Amino acid sequence: MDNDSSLKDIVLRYQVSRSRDLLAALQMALASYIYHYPRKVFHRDHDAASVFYLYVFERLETVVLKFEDHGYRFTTWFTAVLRNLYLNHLRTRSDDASDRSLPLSENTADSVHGMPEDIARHECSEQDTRRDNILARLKDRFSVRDSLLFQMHFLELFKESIVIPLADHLSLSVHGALSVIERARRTYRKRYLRLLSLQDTYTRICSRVKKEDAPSRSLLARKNGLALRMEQIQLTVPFRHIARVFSVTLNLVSKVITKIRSFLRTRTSREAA
Amino acid sequence: MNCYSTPDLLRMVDAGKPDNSFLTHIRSCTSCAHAYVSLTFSISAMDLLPDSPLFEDIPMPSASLSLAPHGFVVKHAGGFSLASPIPVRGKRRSAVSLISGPVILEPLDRCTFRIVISSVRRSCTLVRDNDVVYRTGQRDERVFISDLCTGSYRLTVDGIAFSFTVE
Repeated sequence: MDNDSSLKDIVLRYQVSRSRDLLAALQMALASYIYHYPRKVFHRDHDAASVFYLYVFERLETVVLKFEDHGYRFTTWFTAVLRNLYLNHLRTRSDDASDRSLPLSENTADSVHGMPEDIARHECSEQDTRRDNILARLKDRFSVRDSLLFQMHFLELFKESIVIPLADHLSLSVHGALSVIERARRTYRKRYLRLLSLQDTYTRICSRVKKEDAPSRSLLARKNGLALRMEQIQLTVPFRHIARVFSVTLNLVSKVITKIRSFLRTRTSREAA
Repeated sequence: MNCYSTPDLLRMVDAGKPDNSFLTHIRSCTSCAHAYVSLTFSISAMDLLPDSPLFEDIPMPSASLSLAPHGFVVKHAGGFSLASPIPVRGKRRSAVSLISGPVILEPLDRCTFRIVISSVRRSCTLVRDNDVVYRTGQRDERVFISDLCTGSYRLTVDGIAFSFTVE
């Protein structure tokens, strides 16, 4: 969203006048931002994005009425709300949601301020639970450095939990640790952009397949090929970059990550058995 | 130490660099650290990654025309193409038609025109001045809606909207 002040102005005017035209203008301005939120932040495909878009669209009127101008940007506030809405959306879609959603910030002071009340808590998604399980398994068995090497490799899963331990381990400020993580994420940005563009192509082909009564075999083969190519894209930080950040050898990074992966695999298969 | 409120967290994210007391606080407070970091990453992803071309605002084809004895007089036709066939020797020149996707607007006489839709896959609705004139919810080939006169029209064919005003 380019013009934050004009958006804020529309929202504040809408809160007073409740004009349908202002709401329509707001919907137009926010539509693309809402649609692409799950794609850009949570790597979801177009199907998930369109379902979430409808979920937010139904609630948009109520959401914008909760905005209060306290010196922050509307975009920042709206992104925080979108995150909570997304986690709520996941919770409502999952069957055993009550087991998975654990409030993380019961003690956050007046966290409901300016947020819709039912979505004020920062809640765990399925991904958070998975991450916490892995971290709990690694904690006793491996050293902090080894665990951090592993988390750095699978950064997309651990990017939110790694910041403080990384700052402590490398004796950096939190801001410094965030910069280290941003630099690491840049190593797979091209792959991520490639994934987004493959998702676009895949969705276009799917809509063609749906439209045609008897889709050609080449079209179906292309669709399957694209699905396979999307699966093959791994958003991981290269070993070389990790070795440079932690000032260790490439061989060590490779050994540690392989060891932890095989440990987790045996633990999971043992638990499943 | 007390946790930071949501407005404080939002202002901290806006500022780009948190102050020292906040940095000290989030070292010991998982909740605030998680909220701050997740919001920072969300905003950076939304700012840095490009939008997909699949979600573009495509302007609705719209036209403004009037009926005249020899056919349409087109004042504005955004998203519509004008079809003006070359006259065959010895025959009258055909009247101008407006075409956009599966929709063709054809003048019939000095006060009426018709709409021809090449194919309807799911649904088609024509609204004139807020009244539904025609509606079908089934698959159909070559739909003709005739004897239409002046008014403000909005046509939806399989979810694609067209708007035109005839005077």
